[in-house]
Amino acid sequence: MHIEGSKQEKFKLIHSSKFKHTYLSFDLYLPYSLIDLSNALIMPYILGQYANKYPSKEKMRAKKDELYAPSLSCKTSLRRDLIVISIDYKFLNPKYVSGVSFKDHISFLIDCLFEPYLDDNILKEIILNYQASVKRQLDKPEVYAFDRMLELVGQDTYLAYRKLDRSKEVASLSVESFFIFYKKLLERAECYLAMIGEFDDDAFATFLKRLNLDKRTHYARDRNAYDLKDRGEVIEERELSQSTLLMYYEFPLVDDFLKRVTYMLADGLFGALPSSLLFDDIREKRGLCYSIYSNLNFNDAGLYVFSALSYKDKDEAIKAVKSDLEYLISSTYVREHLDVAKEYYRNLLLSSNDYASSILAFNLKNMFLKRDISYDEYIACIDKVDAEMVVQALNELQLKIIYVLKGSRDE
Amino acid sequence: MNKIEIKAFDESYYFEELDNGLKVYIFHRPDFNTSYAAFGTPFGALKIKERTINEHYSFNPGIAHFLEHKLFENENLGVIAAFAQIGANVNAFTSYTETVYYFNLANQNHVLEALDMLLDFVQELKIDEEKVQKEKPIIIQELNMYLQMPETKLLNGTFNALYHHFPLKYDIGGDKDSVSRITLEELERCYELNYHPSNMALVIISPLDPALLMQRIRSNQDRKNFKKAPKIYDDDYHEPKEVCQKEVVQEMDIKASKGVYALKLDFAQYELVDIRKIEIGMRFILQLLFTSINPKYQKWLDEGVINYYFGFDVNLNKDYSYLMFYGEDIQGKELKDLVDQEILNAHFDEKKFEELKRRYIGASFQEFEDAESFNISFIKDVLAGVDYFKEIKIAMEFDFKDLSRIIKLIDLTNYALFDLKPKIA
Repeated sequence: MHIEGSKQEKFKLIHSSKFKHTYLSFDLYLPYSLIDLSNALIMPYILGQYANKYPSKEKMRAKKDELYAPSLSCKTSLRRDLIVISIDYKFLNPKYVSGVSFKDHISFLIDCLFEPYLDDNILKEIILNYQASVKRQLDKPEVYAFDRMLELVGQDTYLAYRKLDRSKEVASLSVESFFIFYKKLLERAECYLAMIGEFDDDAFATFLKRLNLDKRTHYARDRNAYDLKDRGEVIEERELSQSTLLMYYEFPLVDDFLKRVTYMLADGLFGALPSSLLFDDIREKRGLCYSIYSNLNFNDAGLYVFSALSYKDKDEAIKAVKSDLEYLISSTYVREHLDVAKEYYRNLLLSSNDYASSILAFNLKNMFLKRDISYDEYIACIDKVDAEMVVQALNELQLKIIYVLKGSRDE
Repeated sequence: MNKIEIKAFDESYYFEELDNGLKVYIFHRPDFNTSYAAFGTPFGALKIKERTINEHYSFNPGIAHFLEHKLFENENLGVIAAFAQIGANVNAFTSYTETVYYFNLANQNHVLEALDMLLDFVQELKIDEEKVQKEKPIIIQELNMYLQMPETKLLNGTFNALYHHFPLKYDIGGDKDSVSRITLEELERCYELNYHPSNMALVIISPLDPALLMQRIRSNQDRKNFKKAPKIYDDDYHEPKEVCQKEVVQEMDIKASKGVYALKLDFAQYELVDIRKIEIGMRFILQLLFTSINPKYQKWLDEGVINYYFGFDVNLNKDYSYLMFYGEDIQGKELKDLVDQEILNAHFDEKKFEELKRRYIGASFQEFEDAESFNISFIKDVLAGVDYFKEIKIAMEFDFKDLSRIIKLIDLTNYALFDLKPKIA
């Protein structure tokens, strides 16, 4: 594997024949203050779907089939005060097929990225499908409950931007407003790029030149803690046959990498590992539910516990989650199980190296955070964490809301 | 151990059938960090009636899934915790047609140990009455969780409309009543019938030397004594050819209504190899008629007849076959009108068919990129008696002229409509 990168670490090119495809990913960042979030939300419906050269689904499909079905996809996500547009292009290495070259792929990508197509009809179609997709997501109790919980606990913070349903705002978009947004995105977004596979550096240079990475802005990050208010226990109801429990904890913002790894291990022991304390206690010992886990997010400095259970068991489950956290802090559990958690995360990290998209994501995150952590250094950090550090991290968790979506048909 | 090379994909694997009948497939990936292993039996949720030469057995729906849950227990340490001790990630799933147990592990020093653990926990059922009873509420919670998902409801509702007796009409995990009825004896009987090595397969992707892996597997299996495998046959469900209910409407606490148009087909008289080819042909036909390859697709979108959720599925087998179309904010009846018109008036463009084949080639290569999911796809095919690579070859060499013959096999008269509507308070 041969790796090269830019001096300012804005791109990383990895020559490798490990995979049968070549993968290219890049992330574009813009603050909310510069653009309208709604335009960013419809990006996935446009990029790779319509371009000036391929202004209909039929034409785009024919071109993609000609290139042996490359995948060009786009995802919009939110990272605190920044909107992130993540673009992935993946194509079969030309050596496996005839009549298609690396240059063909770069030309196609340039056509799609720099000349997207949108007209009133397509915008109407996109708006309808965006609205349908939101309804579909919110029909899932887990997604609905999580969305409501963030709305309740995250008032007046960046968490509020995560609200799923932006149907009204999206409905008022116009073709003109989208192209104004798109111009800003192409010209002013902070951008990082990574590629792995079999490619021709010279042919790729044309694309890199057009992205103009070196002249791009670096936006200052807001590093203030949310300091969420304590919302207590909130119970809402829907006509469902099961209830959903969510408990949201806040912790201080963490920039230091070793401390991030410590939190990751703490989360693992608490509820993220397949054999976590919550799983062992609440599912295996008490038999209160099938699914219980925890999940943490460093951007928001938040950790939540999720469970789908019977409403009659929710009080016992809440009490058990609280007492399990106490037990982690006060007993020898962390000391006794930390090695297992470390082994699990080492495995996860090394396994991720067998997935091209994970390798790219790792490198993109490094560049975004202006750090240069290798897999070995990551593992060294895992090794360095001790039980006291984990207990200290767990001590910093502060419960902010208990949200229960009660199923009215829950027996 | 035989080496089988698949030059078109730059792939190869090793195969051996052990003395006890276990089939082992090993893909050697020297540049990978992680080893992946999947161990499975073709015992899925559809097998609730089986017979040997002398006896007939009936089981409660959900039995295969229940057994999967219970095999994850061990007298001392739970299986998940035991694998976690060596850093391995272990999991399992039950589908309608198989149950598969699998792990991944990057620490190569422990891979042989993990292989032993996988073979050992699946090949020894250690349960008692108390453990069986304790598992029931957990499984019922799991079923409740899936039941709240509109897609599960849509699929279950459609299968219930299509089938009178065939077990596709039940959820993979059964329901509250059937799970409550399952007994220790029933689980033991099912295990004895369906977990014999001669009935099972093991597929591994690993950077380790295949000879070393095979040696370990042989030695693990040589240590164990298995009773003589009973010859098992699927029992007849006496499923009528006609659908169970033509039209079904259900309500749910959702905002996006959904509709299904499903066709119950019959290929019982065909050989498996022909059924596979017909299914590949039908997939091509559906892509040509019901995706953006067809210029009318854009018209349907523009007119709001369909949205991006619109899709289809085809599943052809000797004992059950169906074709299904689903959409959002569209009723089953409207879907039927749209689909029937396209199928009845279909004519295919050879140029577009060749373009579609290129897409298929791209997608086939894509399958190899995710080692774990490739491992699972491969074992599913092995357990179904399908040759994974041969299947791709059939698709690549598929003759355009066969499309017109295959479309005639779609019987539009034997259908069911299922509508899932938002409940109005």
